[in-house]
Amino acid sequence: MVIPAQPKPLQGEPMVIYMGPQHPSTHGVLQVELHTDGEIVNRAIPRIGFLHRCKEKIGESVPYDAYVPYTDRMDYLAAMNTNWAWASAVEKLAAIEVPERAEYIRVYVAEFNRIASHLVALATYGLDLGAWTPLLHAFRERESVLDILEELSGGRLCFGYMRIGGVANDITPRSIEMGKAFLKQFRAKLDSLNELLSFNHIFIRRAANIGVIPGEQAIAYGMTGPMLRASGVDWDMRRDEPYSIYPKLNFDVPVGQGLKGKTGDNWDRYWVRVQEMYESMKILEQVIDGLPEGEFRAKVPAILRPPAAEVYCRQECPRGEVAFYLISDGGKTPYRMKVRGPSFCNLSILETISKDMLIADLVSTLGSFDIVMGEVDR
Amino acid sequence: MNILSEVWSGFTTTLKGMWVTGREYLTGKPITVQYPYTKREMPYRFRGMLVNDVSICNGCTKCSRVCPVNCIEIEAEGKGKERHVTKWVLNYQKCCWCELCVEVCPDTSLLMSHDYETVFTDRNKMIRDFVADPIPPFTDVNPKPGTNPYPKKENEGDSESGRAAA
Ligand code: SF4
Ligand code: SF4
Repeated sequence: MVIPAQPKPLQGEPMVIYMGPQHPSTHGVLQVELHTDGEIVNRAIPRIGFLHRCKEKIGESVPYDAYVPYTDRMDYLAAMNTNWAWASAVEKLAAIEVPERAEYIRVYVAEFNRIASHLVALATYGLDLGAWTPLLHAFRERESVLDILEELSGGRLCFGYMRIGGVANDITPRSIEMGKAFLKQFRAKLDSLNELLSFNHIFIRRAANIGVIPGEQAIAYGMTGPMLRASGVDWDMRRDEPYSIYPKLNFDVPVGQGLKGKTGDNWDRYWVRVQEMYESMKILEQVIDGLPEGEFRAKVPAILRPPAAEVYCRQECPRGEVAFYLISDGGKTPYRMKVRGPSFCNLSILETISKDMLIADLVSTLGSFDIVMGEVDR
Repeated sequence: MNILSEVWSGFTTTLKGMWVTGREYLTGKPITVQYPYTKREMPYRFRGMLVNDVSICNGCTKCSRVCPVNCIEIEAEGKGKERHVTKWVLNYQKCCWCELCVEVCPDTSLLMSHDYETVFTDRNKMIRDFVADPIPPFTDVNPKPGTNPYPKKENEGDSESGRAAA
């Protein structure tokens, strides 16, 4: 008797899909290599480097002051903060004293930029999950923030406003008026954004309990910024390793508490950013009240030749800790420079936490990371 | 029971969000600028197309030395007061509008205008020699050197601290 060959039971084969680099939900030119089994992601490997522009090598060939426009183009959503991190690294290297008024102006623009950056993060996160209206609300507010920064620096995205030893131009009375007018109405706008998106039940179901990162794992991966704080780790450079005039200012550091699910999930990351905007508003109000008279820029030699030394200088930017490592040999340009970008470190955890996730949840998780590829690839 | 409460809270929170949209619809005003027909007013410090009035420029090459992308090419002749440029070429393709050159220019002949329509139809036109193809001299438009020749309106209290500073 001939036994007919038994058909093999129906089986799915793992399939490799490349999400990106032109995928709308990857926030730039990020490619994620997905090993999928149906709707389940077995492994998601972020592939970076599509936007690599040799920023570190360029830094070794241009003078210290002329590198400011390059830092604009690293974290282009928070150019002021990256500018500032660079300027303060060089100031530390060359031991330049920054006038107090300049520090106030720096905090003023940096906190406004933090608000603008977080608004983009929230808006695009909503967009990733299919919410279109919050994007329009958030971008309308962001435009008014950019108007204030444009009034001061002349640019809307790449500000290039910081200089070694201060800022490029003095703060104008009109920009303070604009800032006051913005702060007056922004709290109500943020509340309505919360109603629109943050507490929407559908949104919460898409974000809560997904992509949970425990605090210890977050520290192990070198995560910083809102992502670290959302995991319940109470660490903010502005408060714990204070620089500039932050010790004089009074603000809280929001930490993820797992209000809608587990601590460190996507919704927590989102919510920490919302709360940080409220805190930034507090800071800005204090800065406007306390703006001292004085110089906006220290006297710095036209060609800066810092003494041969080595510094590591870090600052809290909207996405986390931006740091510059500089070695000088006493020449016009740095001997070696290295950038530590927060998005790069934050992105590295994606492969670990995306195991056995649905593809739709992976998009939600990636959106909550708020990465900027310009700074991941540099 | 659980499903019912889920549906209920999904329904009510969505309704709340729609209330925000409705309120905005009834009370809000559109803020969109219909760009080619209406144009926004640029702030005083706006960094638009870089222009150089070569009749003032003394050819000191400070701007080309500070430029991070080396997009200015200068040839000058003469000594002292006589010194003038014979070639002052700007490559708009490379320029990143950083304003570092404007800051160092001692004669304030170099300025960033308020012209932001940076579209060229020919790539060769993006490399502009301001000696061969000069702009209208600043003094015709605005008698005070060091202020922007193309602003629509200056901000109050800014004209001193703006351009010529630093
Ligand atoms: S604006 Fe910047 S990039 Fe353009 S010419 Fe001046 S220094 Fe060079
Ligand atoms: S810095 Fe000013 S004066 Fe000197 S060459 Fe450049 S444009 Fe001319």
